Amino acid sequence: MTIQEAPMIKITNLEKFYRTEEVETIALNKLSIEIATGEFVAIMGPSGCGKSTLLNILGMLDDPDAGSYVFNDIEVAHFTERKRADLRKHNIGFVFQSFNLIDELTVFENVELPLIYTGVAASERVKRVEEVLDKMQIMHRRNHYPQQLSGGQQQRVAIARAVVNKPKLILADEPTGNLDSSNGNDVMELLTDLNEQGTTIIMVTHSEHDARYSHRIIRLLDGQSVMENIMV
Amino acid sequence: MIRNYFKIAWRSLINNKLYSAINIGGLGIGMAVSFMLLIYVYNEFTFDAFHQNKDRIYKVMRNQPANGDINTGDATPVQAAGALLKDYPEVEAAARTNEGYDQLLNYNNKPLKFNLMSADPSFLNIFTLDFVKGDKAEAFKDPSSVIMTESTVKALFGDKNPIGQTVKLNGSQLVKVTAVIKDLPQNSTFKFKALIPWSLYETMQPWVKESSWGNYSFLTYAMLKPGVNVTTFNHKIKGLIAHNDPFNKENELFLYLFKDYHLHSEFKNGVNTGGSIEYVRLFLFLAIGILFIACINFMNLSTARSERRSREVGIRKVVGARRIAIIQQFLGESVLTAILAFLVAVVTMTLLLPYFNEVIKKQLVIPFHTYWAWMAAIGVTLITGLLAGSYPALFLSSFKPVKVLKGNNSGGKKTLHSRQILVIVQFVFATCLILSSILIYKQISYIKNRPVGYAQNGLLEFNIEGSMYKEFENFRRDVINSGAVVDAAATSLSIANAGSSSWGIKWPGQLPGEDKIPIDQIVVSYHFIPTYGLTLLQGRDFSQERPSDTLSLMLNEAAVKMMRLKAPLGQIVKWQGKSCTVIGVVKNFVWASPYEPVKPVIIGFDKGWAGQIGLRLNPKAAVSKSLASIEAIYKKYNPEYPFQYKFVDENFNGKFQTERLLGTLSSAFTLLAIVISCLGLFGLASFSAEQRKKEISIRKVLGASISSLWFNLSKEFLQLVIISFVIGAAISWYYMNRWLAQYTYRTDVSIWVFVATMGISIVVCLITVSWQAIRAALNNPVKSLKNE
Repeated sequence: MTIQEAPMIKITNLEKFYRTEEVETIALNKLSIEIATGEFVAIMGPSGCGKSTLLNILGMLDDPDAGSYVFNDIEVAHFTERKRADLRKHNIGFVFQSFNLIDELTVFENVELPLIYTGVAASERVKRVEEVLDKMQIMHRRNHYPQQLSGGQQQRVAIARAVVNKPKLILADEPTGNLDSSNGNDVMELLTDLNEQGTTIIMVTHSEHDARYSHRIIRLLDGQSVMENIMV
Repeated sequence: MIRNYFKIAWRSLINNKLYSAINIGGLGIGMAVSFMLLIYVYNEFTFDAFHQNKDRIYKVMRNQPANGDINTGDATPVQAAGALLKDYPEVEAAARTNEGYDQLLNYNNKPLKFNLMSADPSFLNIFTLDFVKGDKAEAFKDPSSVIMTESTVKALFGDKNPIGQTVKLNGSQLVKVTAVIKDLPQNSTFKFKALIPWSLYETMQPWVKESSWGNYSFLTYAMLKPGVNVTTFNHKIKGLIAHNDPFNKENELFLYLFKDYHLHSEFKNGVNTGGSIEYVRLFLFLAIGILFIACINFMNLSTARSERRSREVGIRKVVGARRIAIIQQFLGESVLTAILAFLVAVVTMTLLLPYFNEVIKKQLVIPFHTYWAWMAAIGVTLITGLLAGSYPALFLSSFKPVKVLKGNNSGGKKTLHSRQILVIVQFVFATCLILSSILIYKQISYIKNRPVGYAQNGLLEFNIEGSMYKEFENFRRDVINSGAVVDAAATSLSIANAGSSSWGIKWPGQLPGEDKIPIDQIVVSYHFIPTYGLTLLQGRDFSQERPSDTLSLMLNEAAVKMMRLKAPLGQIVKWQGKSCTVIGVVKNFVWASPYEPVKPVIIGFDKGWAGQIGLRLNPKAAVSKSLASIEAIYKKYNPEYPFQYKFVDENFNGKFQTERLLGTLSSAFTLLAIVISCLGLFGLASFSAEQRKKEISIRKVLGASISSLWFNLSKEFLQLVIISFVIGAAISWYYMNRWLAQYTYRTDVSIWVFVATMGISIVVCLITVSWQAIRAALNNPVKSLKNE
């Protein structure tokens, strides 16, 4: 594992508000964070502290109201949705707490989906999906539908889908939240492996146990970074 | 990528069978009905369009001013064709025909009736007839020739070669088959099965040749040379009648494009005012309307399921799908659904078309073998798919992945709003149809219950043919003696259908110009009044005991009123060139349109003018037995001819054909619109129930009863239905009043019609919505609250 000096992600004074008709809630309050290429970072904090908001902005699913977000030396804070989607599909993989697989597609087809959207040729897709399914040890389940799998297996499929495009960054939102501890540990091992092969990982979690797999823990409170722990 | 879309679409259809069935079925039935209407519309627009010279063929029409009005008709003097051809170089060809009617053709003692028309030889050059056997140029060389259609030949000769065969026409005249043509297309004005030359018609009916310029009995067609401007030409022939018939110098002839006549056959004051084009427009409107509400349905049901599809959209966006890709996907799904619906439509259409044909009295066929029909059908299917999928695609693709993956998509309120508008559009359409159906039926029953002025039941009529002309009195005596019939009379026309008038009638105290007014006439022999059950108000019926009655006539009340005769009996009225004494006045009877006030009628006496026989059945005898004995007696006197009769009440009911057609179609479409709209409402209700799951659960936890929850969920839909009712009622009120305005005798648009319609709408709405509402109300609150 090597952590390079140039930061992959640099956010400066990032702000995000949620407005309803009468109330304005501050989700991120002038937050500044740097994350280097190859790092494994855990983001922790109580409910409503802005963890998920941060993850969504980092994943370019949402845009900030103010501040700067530089991804691989590109300022993306004010990108259009289309530009963000293009950048996202080549660089970022997502893993969710609730797996978010498409029920109508088989394991194979779910994992294949990102390759379709990046325009990879069909023969190449088969090769890459099989490769990653093999790696995740769910090859034997390739023709099953998500509802036929256990939670642990579903999360493996979700991780397979997140990595099939060989993204530089994986964002995981409580990836073990819906799993028992044994399956949860398996998933954390998988993420650690990926990180060791060079993928940057940012994970939101409530679990101190899971956070211990990371290099660094950023603790948020009320939209601000209150503490960083460097793991040894 | 496309494969992936279709895969998802297919699996999503399979996994939601009820939803898919409602969606595909609803759209399919909508398409089927819409396509059938479009076939009808196409059929009407291509009526008479198969004639190669269609843009140069004209019908010669007649304008006849009388009493401040101009009557327009297509009956013309027999000399018109010759005069047009001789004096106007613009005319390339002209031909006369009579109205074709059923006549007897007998080959090898096999007498069969066929629609036979007579026409000048030039008819064959003006119109496009498809000659299968024989030579067009030679076909009418011999005056005793006949051209037959393939089906006529098949019926008469079987597989034998008909050319040169001789058949007996109407029991006496021998004619030789000189040519065979293909059966005329069903969208043709001409319906004849056999065609004889005009010269033969003149031989058989010598009066035709003698008839004057003032006798308007025949149809004339003219083909102008290419490039001739018809407006200019019509201006030129304005004086044609005046030149040849100074007595009727006000009357004018003009040409009207033949192929347009079928849809534009109504004239008011000499100006074309449309005709059945109105129905074609109505059908076109219905076709588009039905398809549109089926599409709305599709949109409603698709967006109703958006909750369940939103997560998929979110995931696709997260893994890299652009919005356009999502839009493509959902459009792909709706196009797939539309294609499946199209297959349902083809099957439905095949099953329904025979019934539809029966209702509209046409022989429409599905044009399976024409490529343009497939192109059009596929085009409509694709457009339907794209239209129906447009809203769901735009709506679903707008989801923000961040929100939907967290399960709190807040687009709900807004979508409910636009979906409410869609449902209102549907229900406005349905309301209009319900109201129209009720009013059309109300109008028909109103007219049907109007007293006709004669005894319609137990009255039958048939044409006088063959030997019946001379044997009528013997026949009458025998059928009365047999006990089958209580009385019988010969008349010129059926009492169910007016069709004869004359002018030049003079009466005491007549104002100048009144002799130009055409007055309806029915010419009868003895026993007319007792046979038909008319009411004699003054005077007496024609009597065999008084030979002078050959110079007498009767009037109806309307005629007495028009002629302003204070004491009509004994007055002298000049009719058909004879001075006749008025011997009786009958109560008004409905002879012409049952929708119009009764017009003046002259009941003239002329034994030689008979065309129909009317029989008053013995009410004490069984009808089937009476008919059998009448037929036996008929065969005795007229063995050559089959006994074909019509009951007057049935014949009379034929006058309501258009209204009944409208009524049947309107109620069928009403049912369809209600079903389709309910599917849409069902979709909206399930959408709303899903959206309000949490609210319902909280209310339930706090102690709300099932019935209060049911009311709570149902009331928003009741509001929609009531709004739709108000809009629909306003539109219908306007249009139905306009529709009714064309009838002099019309029912009123009463309040109960609206109350009933609103009642129907509310009941239907509650039934549809309650299922979802009760289901939602019965739901376990713990489940939905835990999901939050």
